[in-house]
Amino acid sequence: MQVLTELDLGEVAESVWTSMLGFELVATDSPYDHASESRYLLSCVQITGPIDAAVTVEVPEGLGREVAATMFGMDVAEISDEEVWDALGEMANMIGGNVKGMVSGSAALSLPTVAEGRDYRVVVPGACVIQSLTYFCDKWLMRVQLIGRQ
Amino acid sequence: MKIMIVDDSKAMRMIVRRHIDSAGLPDAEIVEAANGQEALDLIHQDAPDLIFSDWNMPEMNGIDLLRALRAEGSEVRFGFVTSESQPHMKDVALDAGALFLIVKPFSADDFKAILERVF
Repeated sequence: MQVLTELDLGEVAESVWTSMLGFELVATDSPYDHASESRYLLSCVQITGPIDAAVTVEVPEGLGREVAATMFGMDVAEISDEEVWDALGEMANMIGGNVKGMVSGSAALSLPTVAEGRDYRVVVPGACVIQSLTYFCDKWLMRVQLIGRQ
Repeated sequence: MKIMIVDDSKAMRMIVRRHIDSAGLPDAEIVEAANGQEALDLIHQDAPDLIFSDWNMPEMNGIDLLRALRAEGSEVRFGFVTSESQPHMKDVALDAGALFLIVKPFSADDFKAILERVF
């Protein structure tokens, strides 16, 4: 587990967000609270091999649509749900892939999974949160987490 | 010139397409496929000059696509655009016949440098 605690998840997440979207992430100590959002999305990729971990990206629906609109080069109003899921899945994939790249040994990266809704919880049984980073992206709060099994 | 982009993410295919445009090939004919199997079927019809492929995809992944192409004698220019950044992945890719591996996130300069090198 030591290898996971030494990873700089923030550096990876901020680099992916800035270079692919041009969005600035501002780290905050504010608690991640999506209760005020009607819907939010969580995208996740899993890393297996020398480590057993997952990277999750949580954003409110409004930010998810902004991300998709930027990636597709379209207006937010034109973006479909499928395009939001695709874009958010790819963001988690890029962060997870770069985390995997910091791990020695042969590891495998899963295809991304995206959950959307309100008032739900995602649990990886037997795992704990290794790193949890909350950011402001423009007016929205978002969170990136690294979860690993002991 | 015909370029194929293989990625299960439609968003990523769109971004790669924009980077090819901005790297100086706005007139390239672009063909897209969502996985290796779909690409393999299209390659036989469309005969691209260059393939940019993701690594992790459903149905058939990128490395299996490359190996299938080389096994049938294809010498098409092939490279990966992937979040797979472990050093040994590049060795696996080059050993299989890839010309390059671009790691996500990437920049327009990465594409420009690759296109200048490949053509």
